[in-house]
Amino acid sequence: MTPSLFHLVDWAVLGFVALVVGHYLVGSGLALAALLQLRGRLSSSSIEELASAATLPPITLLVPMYNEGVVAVEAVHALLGVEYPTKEVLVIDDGSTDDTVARLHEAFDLEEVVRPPMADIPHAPVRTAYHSRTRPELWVLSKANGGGKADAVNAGLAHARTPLFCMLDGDSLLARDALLRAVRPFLDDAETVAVGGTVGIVNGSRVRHGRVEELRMPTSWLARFQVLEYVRAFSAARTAWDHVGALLIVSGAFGLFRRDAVVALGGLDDDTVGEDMELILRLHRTLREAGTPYRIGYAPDAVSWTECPESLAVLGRQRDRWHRGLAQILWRHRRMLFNPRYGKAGLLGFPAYVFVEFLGPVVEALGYVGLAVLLALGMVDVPLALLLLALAVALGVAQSVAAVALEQLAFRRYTRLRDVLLLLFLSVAENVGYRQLTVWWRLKGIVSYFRKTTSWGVMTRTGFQTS
Amino acid sequence: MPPGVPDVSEHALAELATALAWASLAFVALVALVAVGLNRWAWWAERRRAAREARWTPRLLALLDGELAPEAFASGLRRRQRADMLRFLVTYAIRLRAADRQRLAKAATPLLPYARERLASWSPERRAFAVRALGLLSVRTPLVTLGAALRDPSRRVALTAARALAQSRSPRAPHVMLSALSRFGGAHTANVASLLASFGLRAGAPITAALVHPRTDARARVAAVEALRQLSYVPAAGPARALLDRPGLDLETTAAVLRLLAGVGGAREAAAVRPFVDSPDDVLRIHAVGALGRLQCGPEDAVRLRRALRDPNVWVARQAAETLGQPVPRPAPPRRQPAPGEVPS
Repeated sequence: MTPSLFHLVDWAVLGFVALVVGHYLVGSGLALAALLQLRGRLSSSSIEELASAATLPPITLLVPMYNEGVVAVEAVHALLGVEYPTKEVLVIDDGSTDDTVARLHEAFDLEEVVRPPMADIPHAPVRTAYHSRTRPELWVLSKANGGGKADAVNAGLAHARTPLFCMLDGDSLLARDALLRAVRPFLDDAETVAVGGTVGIVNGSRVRHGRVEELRMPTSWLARFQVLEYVRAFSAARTAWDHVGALLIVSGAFGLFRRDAVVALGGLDDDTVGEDMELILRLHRTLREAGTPYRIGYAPDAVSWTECPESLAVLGRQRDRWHRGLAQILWRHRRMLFNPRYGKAGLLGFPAYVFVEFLGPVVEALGYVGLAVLLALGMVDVPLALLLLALAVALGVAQSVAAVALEQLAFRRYTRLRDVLLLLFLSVAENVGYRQLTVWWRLKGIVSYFRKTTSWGVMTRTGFQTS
Repeated sequence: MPPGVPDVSEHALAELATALAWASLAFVALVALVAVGLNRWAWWAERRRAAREARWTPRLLALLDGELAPEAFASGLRRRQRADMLRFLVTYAIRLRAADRQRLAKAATPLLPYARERLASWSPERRAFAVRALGLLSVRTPLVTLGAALRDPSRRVALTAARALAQSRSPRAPHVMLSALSRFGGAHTANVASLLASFGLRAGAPITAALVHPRTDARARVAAVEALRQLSYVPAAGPARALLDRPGLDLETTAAVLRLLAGVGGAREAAAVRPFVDSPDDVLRIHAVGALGRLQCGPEDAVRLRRALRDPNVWVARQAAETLGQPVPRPAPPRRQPAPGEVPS
């Protein structure tokens, strides 16, 4: 390498460090401002008053299930128990090969009925519609397997009758007041088209009648690391992006949408594996291009709990899929990159996803490999290289620790001191092993994207720990 | 080295990295302490709140039982406890009605000047809380204060004031709310309609007046129509019918008026609805057929509805079938062809 190339590398390192530092610092600062606002708002209003309002827009909870027999009944019980006066639960069985429908049939006394679609959205054919004799607000659609969650949600969307619908995962456990909290932005601002909620990890917690009774840290280390990731993603990152009006993701595990807006787009795109983010980007694009004022928001206080993978194989497949989906979506909507036509979403959110989220693992992997090679060849100043590595780790730890502090400031869901101390410890420990694993899985996701892999991989459920 | 790329010496880079690493470590340590501190502070605050409520709840129950005079309730309260006491009383005030609420309001009177002070706060959340406390805990609804809050720059404060007015029993409250109806143009129509409907039938006449007022904007008008429909306010039928004749009436208001007429109309309203059964707009036809089905006054309406059974729009046909008590036609199946071996629905 020539000296001039060394200088270019110096500048590249400096630039990347500045980008990462700026991203983390600005993100944490924005999240702090947003969460302080939220605290004030929560103390000045009451959910009970909202619940007693004469009219709340009816919501259909769309619950796609594929081989979720272990958790199906518990999850549906939880959804039926969610406080909201005008809700309908629509379970879409996506051609399960296990006993999901049989279990629901037995638990809720289902009878076969006719339920015609309300919108013309393509999806795999619906075989049978069921209605519960014991819980009139529960409906089940049994359909042919459409190859992914998007097709199942599209079937539900086509059959939904309410102005709002809520997209969930089959094993989502909504907090009792989650819908009332998530619907608030729709009531406050008629331009709201989508609102995302927080997704938390339920592994290790005590669940009773579909309700999280006591939130605990999981016992498995793999699940614990994921708790930290979720805290970082929701308490810090999404809060910050929402605060600047450039939110690009509403999680498919808990998102509330205006039905007419999504029907107008033709539903979810079943060609991508990250259909939730794709939908949000398409909403941004379509509404911006049409000049329609809109808002896509985040309700950090509305929570849905979900089970996370506890085996390396399943987690690896999940991360591979997520990153593959990210690659597909970013490429499909590449027109948005630095395009002022798409406002903050195009100028801030999209570039951050490209350079930090998508290219992050590539840069990190190159860093690890490059460091090893240069060290082996004796071409690098060892103390400086180690210093830069330590700096990168310290910045990652700072971001995680800030997210834990923000979580404690705004929500304090993990009440026990030992859980908070564990989260702080995980912020450091994840840098040894877990972080490198996620880099590897995400790189595999990029490779699968270029190989045009379309599979979802098998997700195994262990069921909730009930008392 | 390409021209324009300044030199970065390894020494400078090392110094910068060292400084940043130390700064990051200091930041991590500080924020970790803050996280633990917040956890402990929240635990301590929770204990304090429980202790306070354990002290105040028996006094509150004694107040509601008439064993404690309202004037004595807040005596001895320290200045820094006023916000906590207001919050405590508000949670009960939401659940109490009539005489109990009045006793609570009398007990809260010494705290209201403090709430009024907070109306001038820079924070919309504090202003919203002050409005909420004043609305719930005043012996007489503070109409002037709430009316001013309806025009607050923050929509959250305005909605809080509207909710407080909707919960008030003052006969003038609906007028105050309706005078600022256009303020809620950006809010969800169902939310505003719900607020208006919660005034009850006493608000029927002023809501109708606001509906037909030429300066009421389209969204506010839809909210007014929806509120009248929720109240089943029959006297609104005539003015709403007249609205249909107004040139340039927007689609959403027209559809809302058709839904209202379905619930409160009679023979004259059926006559106003009939032309919309043949409207080129699908949405208007759906609502018109639904309304005519409820209002149908003669055999010619049954003919119209039977004709609507063959409407190219399946939802118009469904409305007609439902009103005629016939089997509901099923819409066309989804576009995608069934997979081999699959039985289509």
